[in-house]
Formats: sequence, C-alpha cells, structure tokens
Amino acid sequence: MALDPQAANVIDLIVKSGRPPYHQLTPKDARQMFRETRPASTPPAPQIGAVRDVLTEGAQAIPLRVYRPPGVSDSRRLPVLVYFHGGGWVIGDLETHDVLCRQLTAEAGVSVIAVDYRLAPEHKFPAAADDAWAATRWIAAHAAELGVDADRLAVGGDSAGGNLAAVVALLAREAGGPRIALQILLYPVTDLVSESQSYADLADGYMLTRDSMRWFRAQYLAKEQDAADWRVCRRRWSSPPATTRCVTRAKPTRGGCGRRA
Amino acid sequence: MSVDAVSFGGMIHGFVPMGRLIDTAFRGVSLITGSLRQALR
Repeated sequence: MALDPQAANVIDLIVKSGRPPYHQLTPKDARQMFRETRPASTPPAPQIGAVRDVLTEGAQAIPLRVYRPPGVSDSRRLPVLVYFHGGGWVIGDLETHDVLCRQLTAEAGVSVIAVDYRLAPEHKFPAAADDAWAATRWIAAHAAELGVDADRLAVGGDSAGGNLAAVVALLAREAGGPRIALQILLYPVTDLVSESQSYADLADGYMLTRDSMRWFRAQYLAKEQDAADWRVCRRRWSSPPATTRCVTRAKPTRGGCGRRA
Repeated sequence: MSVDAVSFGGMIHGFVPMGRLIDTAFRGVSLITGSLRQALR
C-alpha cells in the first residue's frame, strides 16, 4: 500500500514519538493521549460565530456543542449538521473534534451540533447509539431554540462516529422522522461481525492497527452476540438516505469504495 | 437515494482533521461542506 508522503510522515512522527498504541493503554489513558496529541495535527481554527454548550433534557442528559457561522443573526434558522466524533466509541469528545466542527461550520455556512455521547467501556453497546439517536431527536424537537431548521438536517461522523450517523439515519427512516437530508460517513466502522482481508493486509503500520481495532471492538460490545446487531453490521442495512461517504485505502476496516478523489 | 462514495488513495484512517500535516485533509473538508451546501440549501 503506497502511502501519500504526508500521511507517511504522520506515521513516522508517531513512531518516533514512542507513544504506545491505544490497545496497550487503559481507556482513561487512551482518552488522555488522544486529547493531548490531537493539536499537533490539527490546523488553526477558522473564525466562526457563536459557540455554546447545551445539555439535552431527559433521563440521560447529553452534552452538545452548537456552532454557528459568522455574520448570521441569532434569529435566523440555519441548516444543521449533527456530528458524532470518532474514536472507536471509547475515546474522543467535544474538544478533540472542535476544530473540525469549526471548519465545517465556517466552510459550509451551516450550524454544526457536536454530540458528546457516552463512551465505552463504562457505557457498553448500544449506549453510544442510543445517545446519538436521542440527541438527534432532541435537536429536531428543539430546533427553534437552537436556531436551526429541522427540515434541513444532516448527520455525519468519522470512524465510530460514522457508524453512529448511519445508525441514526436508519432509525430515523424507520421512525418516520426526523427527516435526514444527508448522511456523511467518514471512513465509518460498518461491520463488527467479521474481519475483512484488510485486517490481515493492513494490520500494522497504517495508523489504525488491527490490534487497536480489536481493542475498540472489545471495549464497545457488551457480549459477542452484539456484533451481529444491525447497528454494527452493515449487511443488515438497506435503503439509506442520501449519502456522502469518504473512505481511505489504508486501514484494517477498509471496505468497498466508489470514485477516487 | 443517491450515494457519493469517494476514496482518498494513500490516506490513513482519521486524516480529515489533520490539516496541519496533511494537505489532502482540506479536500476532505471541502467534500463534506460541498455536500452539505448542496443537500441542505
């Protein structure tokens, strides 16, 4: 697998740093390492408008961060992207993906609402999926006070967050709403039932390793049978809404791909 | 239902937020924001 030189440089930097792989850490330490190392690869944050943290109401209060583009009045209801961060359902939070959410807000001119769903292993499957769905419904129900338009709502996420976005889109279809206009899946995790050939071909040396992927899976699933649940098994997915799917060639969970960028 | 699946050759998992080190990350962001603008207009 020929890596882009800049991508190869990222891996070289990680190797030279001597930092341990995630699967050799406790979840708590893995979260801390992710949080601390993130800024080294993150670009400067663009200027945007208001940013505020809110909590959903209900039995399980879920922290959200609401971003608005610059130069937009508070009264104007904007299209909204509900965003779920990546991190194997174990690591990541509102801070680790703050700059990306600001980039999306500034460049798309929409409101982005990031969801701080519960993490494993303290909260096993399907807690993250439950939170993602509950947060999306709450956002749609409280669109006016959040300054967004529930009729122009997209969901998206990277890695495990891509999995959650896909689950939310399918749940919304089954429930008859909220209407999801678009799902954005960045190198999503779509199958925990079995390991594809790429788990062997790209097991190590390409950022996300086979052993770390197995570790994330073990942290998330409560029991082995959970791997067959439709929420982590794309073979049981059908008729999703409009989708933009961005994938990479060099990772263990690589699947089928469309056109190349 | 339309699906636009884009493969970024030579990239690593998690590259989109890595704009400080990987120029292609910005292409990933632009892909997302272009899709959002088109779908949510």
